[in-house]
Amino acid sequence: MKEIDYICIHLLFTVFNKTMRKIYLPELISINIKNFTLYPNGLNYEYDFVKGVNLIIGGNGMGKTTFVNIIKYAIIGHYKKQFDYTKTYKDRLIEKRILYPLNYFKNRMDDEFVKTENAKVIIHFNINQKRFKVERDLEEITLSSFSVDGNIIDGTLISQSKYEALNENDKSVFLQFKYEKLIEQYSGLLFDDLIFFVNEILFFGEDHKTILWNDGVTGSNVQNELFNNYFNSPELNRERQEAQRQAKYFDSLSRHRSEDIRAIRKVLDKVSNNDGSSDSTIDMIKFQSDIEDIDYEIEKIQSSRVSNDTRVSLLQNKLNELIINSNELEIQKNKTESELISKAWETLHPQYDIFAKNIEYNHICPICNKPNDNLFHDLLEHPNCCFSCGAEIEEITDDNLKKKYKDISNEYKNIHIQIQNNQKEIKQSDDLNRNLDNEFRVLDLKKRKLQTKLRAVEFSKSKNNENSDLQVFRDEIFRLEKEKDLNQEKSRIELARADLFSREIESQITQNVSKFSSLFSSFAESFLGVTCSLTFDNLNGTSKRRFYPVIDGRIRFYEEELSESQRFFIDHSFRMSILSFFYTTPTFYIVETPDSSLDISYENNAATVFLKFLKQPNSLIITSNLNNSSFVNYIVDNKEDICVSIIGLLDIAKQSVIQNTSEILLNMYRDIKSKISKNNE
Amino acid sequence: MNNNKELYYANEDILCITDNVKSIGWESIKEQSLQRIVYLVKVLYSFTHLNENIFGYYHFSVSLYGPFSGLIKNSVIYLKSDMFLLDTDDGGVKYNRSNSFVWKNVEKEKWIKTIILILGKYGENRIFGFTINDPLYKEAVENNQVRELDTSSPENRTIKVLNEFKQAFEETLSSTSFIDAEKYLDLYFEYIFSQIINKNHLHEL
Repeated sequence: MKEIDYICIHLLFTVFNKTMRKIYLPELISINIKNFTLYPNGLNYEYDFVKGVNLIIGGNGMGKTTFVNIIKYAIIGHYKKQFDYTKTYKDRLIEKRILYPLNYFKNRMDDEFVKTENAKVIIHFNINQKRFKVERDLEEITLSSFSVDGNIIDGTLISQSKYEALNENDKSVFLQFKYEKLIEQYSGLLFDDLIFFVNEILFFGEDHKTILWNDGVTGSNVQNELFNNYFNSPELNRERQEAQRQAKYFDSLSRHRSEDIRAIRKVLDKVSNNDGSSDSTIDMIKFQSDIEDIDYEIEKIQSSRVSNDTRVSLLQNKLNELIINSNELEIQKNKTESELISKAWETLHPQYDIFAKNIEYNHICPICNKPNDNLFHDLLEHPNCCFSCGAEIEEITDDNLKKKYKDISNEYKNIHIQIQNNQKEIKQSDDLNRNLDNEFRVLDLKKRKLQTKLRAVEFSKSKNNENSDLQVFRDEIFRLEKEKDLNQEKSRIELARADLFSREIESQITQNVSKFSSLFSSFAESFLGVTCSLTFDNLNGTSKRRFYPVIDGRIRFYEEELSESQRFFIDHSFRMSILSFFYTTPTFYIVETPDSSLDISYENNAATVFLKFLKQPNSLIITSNLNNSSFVNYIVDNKEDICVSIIGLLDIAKQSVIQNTSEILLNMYRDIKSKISKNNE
Repeated sequence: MNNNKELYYANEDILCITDNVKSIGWESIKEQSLQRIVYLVKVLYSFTHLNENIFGYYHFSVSLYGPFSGLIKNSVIYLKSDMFLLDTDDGGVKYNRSNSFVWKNVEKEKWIKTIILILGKYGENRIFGFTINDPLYKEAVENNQVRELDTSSPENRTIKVLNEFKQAFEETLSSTSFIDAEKYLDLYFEYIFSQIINKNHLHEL
């Protein structure tokens, strides 16, 4: 890279190298839904959000999901995603926002009921102490009016779909544009960022999409977007993205040239097969093509090598951890041993203890220094017997001590078995690496031979000054190859630039990992009851780091490594850590049916996690069909003085739907409602 | 046991260290100090030798007391069992001179001696401060890293920071071409401690 680039980047770092951003997310105050016939018994439904738990209770089809979607719509509009890429014929990327289906709310309405006006929602929320009142049409998907601190803002009305079709320059007269600008002014976020936060972080929907594990193969790479943007100045990330985009662009150009070259080679292959003649140009092209194939194979081997190395690295670390743990256990074991069989030691060989350790840790006979796994197993199975002759060292009479000794010995045994298994795995991975290295050597040799042949043909051709009919093809390939190399080089330079930005971003994140991870631990551990933390590392063979959850000492690379409810609550913990980390003013978190996959033993833990989140004033919005009443009851009966309020869809839904609801559900609902009103008194 | 070869390599290194610390006036050495010295031996080897690290068989992790490699613990157990090492009253170990051993790897021995000399010259605490403040180690702690410390790769953080100083240091030398790696490192540390640590830049290391 040119020196000037480094200087520019360095300057950028100095300018942008500030701490993380201060952001203000919406704090919900109240909502008013009018003429929405899905709730015919509440055609002017008003609800004041509480700092605490806002329970949306209703049976199937009563509109729980619709209700939370109305909340989201009221704040950000009908946007599903803040941007998406579309490719044009020139390989240029266009960014545009994605909308939900425009008839979503209309289709949820009930035609049986007559109404004079369109359905609408009016929401009040604060952003950094500014009071926003926003009114939106639920049928036409339009922002109808809004005010900030009581000042009504003027602007031309436009439906969202039409607004999105406008050019950037034409948007400024519209109310929607003014709304976005004022939100940006007070929140410290771009409006696109707010769409991202509300859709991806503040909302855990019924599709139960987790964000911690999503690396962007399908859906959003939330980690990427979140941490690149918010732990740093956004300009740094923009520069990084631009460099990445350029790198991709040049890479695709270079790939196109590759394709062209391949096509010409195919034609030449056919020509040579048809007339059976041997032409040095064809030979050269064939050698080149073979070399390229080998390069591809080598690339594959190298990538397997990298992922295997990561595996070994994790195993080595685990091995060290196990040995440290066994160290601690050994101290306990020795203490118990000395209590139990103190006298026996007087008759033992003074080196007995260290001999035994040598067997346990190194699997080596301390007398002849030969490897011996049998001694290792015998000693672990019968710790109170001499490893050499098997005689009992001393009979233990105290039953309590005997039990304690047995427990510790068992634990000690387990840890050494784990150590042994870990070593086996390391050995297997090392073997795999050796095989890969061998394959690499074979391919490399083959490549060298081909290169020698190629040079020989090239040399004889230049010497004979042979002019083939096919020379024109060769020239074309030569030209394309030059272009390909040039584009590859450009792509490499841009990637290096992007990498430099990425590293700067990562070093900013690193400064916050321990704080962030400890927030995560406090939430996740309340649910799982085992140690949980986050590691920030690059473990997937790419150069980019991301957060991985470490649960009970093991990295969970994939969400499938956890049970359904564990995975959801780890993800809730992750999101709540984000919200706690960036906390400036109260905000909200919506979770749809969090109790759906809980077994009875985790219900209380689940409630505890949410109550912990509410120790800072926030609004938690939970939907429930009372499938799992003990979870809801635990929330309602909480001893933390956390306020609970109900959005009772069972009261406002259609009469016939309510009548069809089972008596059990209705009774449960009434119980909870009366309990809450009693608590509030 | 699969990694006996590595165990025997480690045995040689540990014996070499316990034998040589006498030259800087240490009568005994604690296992924790052995862990740190071997860590330094390995990580600094990458700094002056860009290719393969001959101490690659040590795999270090972050522990409460600094870098830790299980292999070193296993080796100390083995050497104690074979009475090459003896326990001392202060909780450390010392080399048992009545038990002779033949050193096989000249390159490793030379390198270990260099590190021990630097240790003697600048004092244990300063060097160990260096180990704990080592950028690679610090980064692993900060990121809750759960894989081993990447000591072998020239891409690691320590080597990067050291390389940043390297350029400034080389400007103070008239020519680096006549200096061997050991002498280079010695002069380099002299430079670091005189120029950088004295100016309170330790936090950068």
